[in-house]
Amino acid sequence: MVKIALRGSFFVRLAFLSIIFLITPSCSSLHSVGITNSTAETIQFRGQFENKPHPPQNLDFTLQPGANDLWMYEIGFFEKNILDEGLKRIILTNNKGCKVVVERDTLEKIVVKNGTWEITIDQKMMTCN
Amino acid sequence: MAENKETLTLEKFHEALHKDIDKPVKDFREEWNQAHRRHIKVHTGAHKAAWAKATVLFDQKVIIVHVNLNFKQNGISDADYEKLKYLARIGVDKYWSRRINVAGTSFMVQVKAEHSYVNAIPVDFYVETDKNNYARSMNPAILGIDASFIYNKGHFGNKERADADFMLVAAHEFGHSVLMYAGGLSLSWGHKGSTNIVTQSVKSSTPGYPAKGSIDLMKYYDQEKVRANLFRRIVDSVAMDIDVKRLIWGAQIKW
Repeated sequence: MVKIALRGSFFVRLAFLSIIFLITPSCSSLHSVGITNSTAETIQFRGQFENKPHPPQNLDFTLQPGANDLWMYEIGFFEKNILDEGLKRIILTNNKGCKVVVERDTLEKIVVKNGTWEITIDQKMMTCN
Repeated sequence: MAENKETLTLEKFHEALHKDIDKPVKDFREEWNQAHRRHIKVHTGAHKAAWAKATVLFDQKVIIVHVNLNFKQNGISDADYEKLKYLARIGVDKYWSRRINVAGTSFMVQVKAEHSYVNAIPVDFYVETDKNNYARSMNPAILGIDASFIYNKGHFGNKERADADFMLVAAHEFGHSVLMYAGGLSLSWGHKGSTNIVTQSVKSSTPGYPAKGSIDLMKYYDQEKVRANLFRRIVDSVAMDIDVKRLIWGAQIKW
């Protein structure tokens, strides 16, 4: 009898945990920021992020001409769906040595929300004097 | 590492494999059932998972692991169903095949996922077309609840990204069955200690993505500490040595 009671209790707890497990992922959501290189040059991408209390971090990757990549981030149920709030600026360097820094306020003006937040690097953005 | 070609025997291989994942070689079920005091009836589970079969080619130093998944079409089109079956199988094969080291000898493990209606992990396929919703896949791996592998067609907006994400996710979700079988709730739902078991949120102690090198397929990382781009996650993610050993430990083995 004791064994049955213990087993019953175990399955009740397991069922409860399962229900919680099934519903909790909906409490936060995943979003993405995509970067497309529409120039004819290879571009070294650096994203600079600040998510307090963590130290600032960089995300570096290379984009061949025409290539794209993305990163994902998570926001809470009550948080507004905005462009990754940790993103402060991007630094783009092409193989001709042209280096461009684009701050967040500028990114917010050029980013397009199409499922993912999409930032397209074009020739105009990569103009160095 | 030098290989012990001369001394490695099947017995030593077996013992080392179990030791590496902290499992006893002997099955204690019989002894426990005979004891006169109360014991929770637990079996070691070694080599009894119906959905995995391993063949150890000892001389070639190759281990082939066939894993069965029962892919259910639900309401998706025939074309999508065939495509997702292919991507899921390729994903599992890609991220779970690797070299492992057992008792000082390197073995190449080739994992081959197959669609099967019996002795298989049940998987429901879904296609999410809503652009603004990245639908999360899951695999509780208990109580007969099917795993859900979701293809995020709408969110990514381009086929390459959606395909790559799906393959990675399918491999991760399959891994929940491996971790559940070998280590239970805390290992599987807790993503090897990186998340809270119930809420699935990363723990404060969880690090960001490693700056370089392999990314553990089955762990969560704190992206607020270090982010990783999709291309890198595709290239660097892999099932860890210990998790592939857990898979082999659960699989029915043919020597």
